[in-house]
Amino acid sequence: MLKKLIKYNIKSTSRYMNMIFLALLIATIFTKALLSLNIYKGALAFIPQVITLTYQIIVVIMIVTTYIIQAVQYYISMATDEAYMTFTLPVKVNNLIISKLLTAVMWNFFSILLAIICNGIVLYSKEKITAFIDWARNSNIYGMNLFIAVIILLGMIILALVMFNLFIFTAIGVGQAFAKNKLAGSFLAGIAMYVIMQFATMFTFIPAILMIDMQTEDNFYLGSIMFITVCAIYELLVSIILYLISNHVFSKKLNLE
Amino acid sequence: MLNQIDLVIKKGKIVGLLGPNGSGKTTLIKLINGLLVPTSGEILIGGKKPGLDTKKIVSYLPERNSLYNWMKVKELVEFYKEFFEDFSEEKANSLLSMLNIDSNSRLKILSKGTKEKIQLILAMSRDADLYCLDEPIGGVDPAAREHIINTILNNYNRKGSILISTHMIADIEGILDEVILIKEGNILEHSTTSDIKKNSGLTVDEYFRRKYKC
Repeated sequence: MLKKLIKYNIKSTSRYMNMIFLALLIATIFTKALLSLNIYKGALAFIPQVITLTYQIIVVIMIVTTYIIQAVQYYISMATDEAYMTFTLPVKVNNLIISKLLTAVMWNFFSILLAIICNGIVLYSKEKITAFIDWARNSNIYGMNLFIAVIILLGMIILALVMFNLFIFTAIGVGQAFAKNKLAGSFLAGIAMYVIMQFATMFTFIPAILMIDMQTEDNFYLGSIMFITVCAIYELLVSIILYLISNHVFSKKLNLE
Repeated sequence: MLNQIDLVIKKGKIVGLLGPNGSGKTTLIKLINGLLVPTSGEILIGGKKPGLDTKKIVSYLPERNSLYNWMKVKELVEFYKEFFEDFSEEKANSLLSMLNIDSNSRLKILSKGTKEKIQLILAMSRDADLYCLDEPIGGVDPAAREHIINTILNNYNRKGSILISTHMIADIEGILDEVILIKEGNILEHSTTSDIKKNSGLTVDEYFRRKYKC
């Protein structure tokens, strides 16, 4: 059933996501074409910077829109009229949440990946690529080679996306349990959860930072590894808690008035 | 809000859940379908609490349009086929063509009445043990009501039961075996239609109007 749910979730969101991705590709080609013109001299020398800045704004809007679409789609299918269909399907509530989480994380991740690739296309030049390859070959990030660092970075991005989406899902879940003003309830729940998470972050990271002495190079490497580990554990724990709350409210406190 | 509801719906019966607006009809149907969770008490469908197992045997027609508007009609049929083991694609397609509904149409361009017909077709194309139909003829024009009622009658699983919530009693009383009269969350009466007619000398519609002083 999980596979079927994911298939339909992807179908329902792909019509928006494909349009957004297509728009970004068009913007990328257009930007690249504009930047490759050899006319920005004298008083026009500032124009490439303006074009690049505008392009970066478009990229950020694209990524933010991806998040908004996932949140809106979740709200529509779990807390509005469509929820009558969603919750009468013979599937477990946890399958509903997991399928929507995987779909949302997948689109969010694609949007980031596409943003990186498109930026690569826009900023591409032989010299820059050669310089990047040289840097990548010789790089030593906190004692790791680039490949391992990228894997860790991707893992951290995915964990952060899981936590972020579960945060939105949980806020919507708590909001739908309200008798009235469910949307306002979701915002209130989101604010309350944010405050709690800020305290949790403070109590987790301040002791971790204090414990790690980063004065020497060896300690800096070790400290960085420890810091990344603490981040990963924190995001994982918060995600598990948010998932459990979401599952509980939709299983035990469903309120489709 | 429902209070102290105690009732049993027998197999093979068509039961009318009758009452004015706000009497608790929809709330009861939502509780049966697990869309609301009772604060106290227990609901059992085939001996099981509302959940995964009961969703496999209960076919629900909500009073509002819950269909995924981004789908085409044929995609919805496919969707039902994938999720409900007791769904008959053949029956759904035949009912759609009987009502001249184009399977290639996107739901968002269809009228409210057509969407209601599609919802009913999907609900009745299942071979369920219990059909919960919440205001199945509420938004349908009078000319189509008879057709809708025939669709219900000709397509349900005879071994199963139908619970129909409505306040359009005159249109459906002919098909009901039993009626449950509900008011302000309480059950006023649960009788067979023949008992009501025999004891009061009135039609169910007239009896309802007298009870609620319409």
